[in-house]
Amino acid sequence: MAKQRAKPRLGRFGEPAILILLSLSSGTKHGYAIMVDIEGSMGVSLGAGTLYGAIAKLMKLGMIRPLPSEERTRPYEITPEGRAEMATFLETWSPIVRLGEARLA
Amino acid sequence: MRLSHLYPNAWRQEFGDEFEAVLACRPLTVRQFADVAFHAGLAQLTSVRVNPLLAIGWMVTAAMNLIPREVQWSAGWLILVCFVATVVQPRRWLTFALLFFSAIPVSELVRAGHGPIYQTSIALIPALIGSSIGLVAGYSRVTRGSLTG
Repeated sequence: MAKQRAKPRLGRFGEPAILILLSLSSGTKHGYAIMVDIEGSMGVSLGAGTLYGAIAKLMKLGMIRPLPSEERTRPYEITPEGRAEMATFLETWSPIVRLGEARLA
Repeated sequence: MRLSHLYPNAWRQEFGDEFEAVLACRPLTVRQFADVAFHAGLAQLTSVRVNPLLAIGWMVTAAMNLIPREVQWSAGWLILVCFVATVVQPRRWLTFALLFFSAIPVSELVRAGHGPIYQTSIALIPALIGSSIGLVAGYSRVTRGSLTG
């Protein structure tokens, strides 16, 4: 019987939020920098509405937090809860990806 | 037009400036606009707090429609509930009319399980009548209050 995994709190369709967590795991970034990083390193284009919808959700869940800033844009950083959520997500999907790759090979 | 104005006030206070800064970094395309409009709509919906009195009013409206009786009872109730809600908050007269009207097609779907429910659109008439009378009464109440206060 398959091992019961922790349920991802971001839900099944939490992909934009996961991409943001992944982007922030390499360091603090402000909104536009997150958007550019996701486009450049993951090849996914997020609209501003999607980006800030996911940022608001992640802040509410305590997975990211804004850092104080004098400028118009605030940088965000990932919290320990955010790192744990990302680990859960990867743990859930890694075996599925491996299985898919094996079956397609 | 600042697109952040499509979002609720609380959201705008939290993210408005940086959101506009991100939007300003790229030319606005139809796709970008649709993305913002969709998520602004979601934010508006999730910011609505359910008022228990409105929820009770909505459920009573649906129940009135489910209990088999003369249609005048449902129409009378719709006029009354839309009137009372609008007197309290005149600015939301259309919201109340649509909110309480929505109980009719929903309860009709529950009862019949399938269409056609377009016939229930007739219920918009008493809902709008109640809200319109409430709007006049509500604003005259507000105006009287500001004159005497």
